[in-house]
Amino acid sequence: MLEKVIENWLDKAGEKTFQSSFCAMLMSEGHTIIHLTRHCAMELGKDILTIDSSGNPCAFQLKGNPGSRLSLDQWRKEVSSQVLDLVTGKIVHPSISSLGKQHRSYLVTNGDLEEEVSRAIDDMNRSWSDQGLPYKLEVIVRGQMLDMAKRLGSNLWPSELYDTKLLLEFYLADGKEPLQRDKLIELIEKMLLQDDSKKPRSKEGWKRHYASAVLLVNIATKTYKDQKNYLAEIESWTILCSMIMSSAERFSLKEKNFRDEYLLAMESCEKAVVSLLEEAFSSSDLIEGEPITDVPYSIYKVRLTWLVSLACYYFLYRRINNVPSDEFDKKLMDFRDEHISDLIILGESSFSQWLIIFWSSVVCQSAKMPADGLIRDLLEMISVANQPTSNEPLPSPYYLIEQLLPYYTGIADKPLNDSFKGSSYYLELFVNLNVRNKNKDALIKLWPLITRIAYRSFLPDENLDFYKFKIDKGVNLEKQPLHTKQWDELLKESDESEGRDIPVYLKKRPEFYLLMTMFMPFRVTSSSGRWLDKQISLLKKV
Amino acid sequence: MLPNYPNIKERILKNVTDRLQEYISARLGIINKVSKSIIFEGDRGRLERADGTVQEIDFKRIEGSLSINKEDLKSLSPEDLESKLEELADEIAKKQSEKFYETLGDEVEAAGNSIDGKGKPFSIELYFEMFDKVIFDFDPVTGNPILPKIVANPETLKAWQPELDKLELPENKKRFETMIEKQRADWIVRESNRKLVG
Repeated sequence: MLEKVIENWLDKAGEKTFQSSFCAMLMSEGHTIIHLTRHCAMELGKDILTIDSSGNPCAFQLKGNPGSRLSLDQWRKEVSSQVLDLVTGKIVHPSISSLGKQHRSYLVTNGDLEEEVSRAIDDMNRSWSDQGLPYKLEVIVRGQMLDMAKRLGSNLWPSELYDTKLLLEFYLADGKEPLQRDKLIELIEKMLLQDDSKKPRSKEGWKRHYASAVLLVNIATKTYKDQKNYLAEIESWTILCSMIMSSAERFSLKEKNFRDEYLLAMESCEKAVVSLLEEAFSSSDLIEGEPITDVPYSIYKVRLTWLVSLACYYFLYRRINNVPSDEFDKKLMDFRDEHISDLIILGESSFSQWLIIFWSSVVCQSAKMPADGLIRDLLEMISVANQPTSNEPLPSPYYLIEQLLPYYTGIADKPLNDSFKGSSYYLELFVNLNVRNKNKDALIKLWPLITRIAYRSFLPDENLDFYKFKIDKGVNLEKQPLHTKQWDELLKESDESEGRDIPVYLKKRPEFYLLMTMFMPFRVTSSSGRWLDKQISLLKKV
Repeated sequence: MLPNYPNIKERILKNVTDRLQEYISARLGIINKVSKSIIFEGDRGRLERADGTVQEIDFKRIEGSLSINKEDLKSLSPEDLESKLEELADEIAKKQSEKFYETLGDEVEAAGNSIDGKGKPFSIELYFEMFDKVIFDFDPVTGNPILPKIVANPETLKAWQPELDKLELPENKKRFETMIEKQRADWIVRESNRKLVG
């Protein structure tokens, strides 16, 4: 059954969608990925550059021919000239140029070749050989790709009937709704976190396992990709990346055992982020789907908040990764400033998005909502909203946006049977950030209100569980702030930035942690939030 | 497989579960008015109070069971099922109440806030002694005291009523007002301590 799913996926995938999976297959066969194109401009006919397990540089050009054959017409009009660049064009990349070897060239298609195309390729290769030239075009077609995918996929994926059913449910999902995250988490956790006979025996075996997980996510989220449901794609890659790091820490693996596969997943994630933002920038009204329920029922504002916070996230991602500032950054910040007054807070789960907006304003000040004013407003909001006598407290961050929307829009069957008043998961962090932003007057004014709200947090028994969506073992902490607090003491507490509760590999990737908080807003603690704030403060201001 | 309608039955089961929850809530009385907070992960809690005391909280399991004989199943009517749900609600609510008051009693004892009547009947003196141990707040707008509620079973309350009626006597009214003013003074001090200094 799993093999049928793989086959079905391969026969429907376009080249953009099978690129990431093909990379995973190459990785599992010992290739090191050097470069991937973003499909925005052809880079001299080479979509993927690798070094194979024997140290040979390899260049691949991908052609999507789902369920069909590469025709002679297509070969003549489109492919042959690109193939010329692929084979004869020198690869200018430090990792490859330094090898001093002629690269191997591959045309890859998920379809087959018409006989005439095979003949044309043979003729071309023979001609080069006769001239004594070191050029040769090799071909990988559907059958070979299918074998590679099966070796990587169905041998390593969870294969109980229930798991196959989960994968199928994903594969056959509508694709327009938010990601069915519980099911995806269940599938990936079984692959990467549970101790069973399918787990690799060696640390090197884990690389193949992670590559297989990349393939699994690619296939499972096919319908979301088909619908261009970028947010679901982004979330799915975020979940995979956090599980990869979680398993790497759990099974004591080194960076080299997962880094390439993690980067491959993040590459796919980044593509989805950029695609979503580009769609937003070019949209005239930012309305999606049925319009009359969009604006009056705040779905529009929820969407805007996602888009603005993702724009801010990507801006920070680029700064953390030292990407030179350019016009795209201006677009990101202009988008933020254009829409920042139209956003929404449904519950504490929205605060992770707002923190990212705040941090973007720390690095690139928003004229409409300066950083120190924004963090002060957030503090005031939660201090007032979650008073013990409040009638409309903000729900805890465990209630994600799509869980809150039915209550917010009046379509829930019954009221939310949970009490949020008198406590908050984000208040302590907001106090700390206001101290750091020198909002002493606001803190003095709000302190009586703050003292009535308990600081809530969750401390897992094992640090490496931090990556997980739900943790079985740990302490739910409720801390009542002191009624009288010395400013010096508060300064000292707010200055602390060790981030002791953040796992090792996550700490090396603050840009990923930012993304993770958008989908797991309950994984922001006052300690981890202060650490993130410190990382952001080290970035060069724009 | 015999013919079945799993989706419909799942929806019915959800309705049944919701009703059971309503029956339990109805039986809990004043406990129902205590705020509930759902715990999504973890297996225990910790409370760190403003006075520096720390309390570790172990989660306690409360369960009830509903059993129906196979022979009775075929003749089970909706009314029969409701009746069984009510029995189950009785069982769970009873266990929840017992656990609630047991925990409350332990905490009150530990905080030194319990009063031992030493076998004597309830009296107005005991009433004032009880109130003396309670801290209550005042509405910051109206200045009215937010008085605590007395929780007792109806027979007990009935027995206490003659003593409680003595609150209307002038000397007890004055005593009550003095107690309220003392509480107000304490409240004002407490509120004025809510400050960031330095």
